[in-house]
Amino acid sequence: MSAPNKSYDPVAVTALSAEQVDRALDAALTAITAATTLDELKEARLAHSGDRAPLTLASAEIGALPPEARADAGRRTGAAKARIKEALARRQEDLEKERDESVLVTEKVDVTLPFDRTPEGARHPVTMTVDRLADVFVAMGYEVADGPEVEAEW
Amino acid sequence: MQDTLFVAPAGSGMVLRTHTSPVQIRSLLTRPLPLYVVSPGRVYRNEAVDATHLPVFYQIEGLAVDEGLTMADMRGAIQAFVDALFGAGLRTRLRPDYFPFTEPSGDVSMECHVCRGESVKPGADPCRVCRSQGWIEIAGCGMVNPRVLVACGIDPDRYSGFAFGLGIERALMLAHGVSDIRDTVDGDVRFSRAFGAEI
Repeated sequence: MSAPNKSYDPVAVTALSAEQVDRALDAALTAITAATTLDELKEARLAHSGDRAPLTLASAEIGALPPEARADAGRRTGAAKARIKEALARRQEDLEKERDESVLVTEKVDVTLPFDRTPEGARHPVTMTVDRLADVFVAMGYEVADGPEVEAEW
Repeated sequence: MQDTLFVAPAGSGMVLRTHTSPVQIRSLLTRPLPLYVVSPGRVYRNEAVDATHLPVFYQIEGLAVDEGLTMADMRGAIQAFVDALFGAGLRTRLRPDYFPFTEPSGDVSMECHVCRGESVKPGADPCRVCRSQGWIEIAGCGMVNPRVLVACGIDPDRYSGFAFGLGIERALMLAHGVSDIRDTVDGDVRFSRAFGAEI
């Protein structure tokens, strides 16, 4: 950033001239309109509204202008930046809407299709334990006996 | 011994079995000697449901009747089953107990399979599984009362027998670190999945 200019006058800061600001604005708007995906729009945002964008760098030079020229330069760059910001937001909204709509189509799942994974079912852990214990005794030569669950009281 | 569920109408004389012991008598009456049977099955008790009690649960009982069977044979059978379920190397012990149809009767404890008895030592970390007792009660057992054999028409001078029984859910909970018996009946597949069931 240049130091405040108090000593001499006038100073030509070309980056702040009306033509330069307009050109930067046109370039930004063109890039924003040309962006067809959210990624491209992100690149455009970095190039035209980021820390290294021409207009950002230009506003940093305002301090180098003579005091009476600063207000006018600030207004012009400020207005240009606001337009870029607005254009970015609008384009962002449009592209997001477009993406959401295309996702609905490309990631469509027909939930009415037949289910292709039929759970086979399994034996209950208690049943598995019964079998395991019975196996231990069968291995020792025992037989497995079964009986009714309703019995005489005595 | 247990709170029993009776079958209607009142005075029917029928009950939902509170243990699988009747199966042992049916086996004694119908099968030839020597007899070695296990009877796993569902049993019913009129108990409130909590983390360790269900009114319907499973038991497995064993009965062996042969010539010359002694408590040593019973200890061997019990040790073999503990080895099979919890891995070899856990000691078991018998302490006197009472069951109506065995004499003498005992309860079977095994060394805690989690702390292996270490939690009993002074200054050791407490063990939640055996409550730092070092032993876990797992089964009841005893030598078949000779009068039971007589009632089944078996000569008690020639034959002797032993019997034992344990709760299936309890064995499952111990072996797999399940803390609430109600998990076994909730029907949640996430519980079964932990046992390798593909659902």
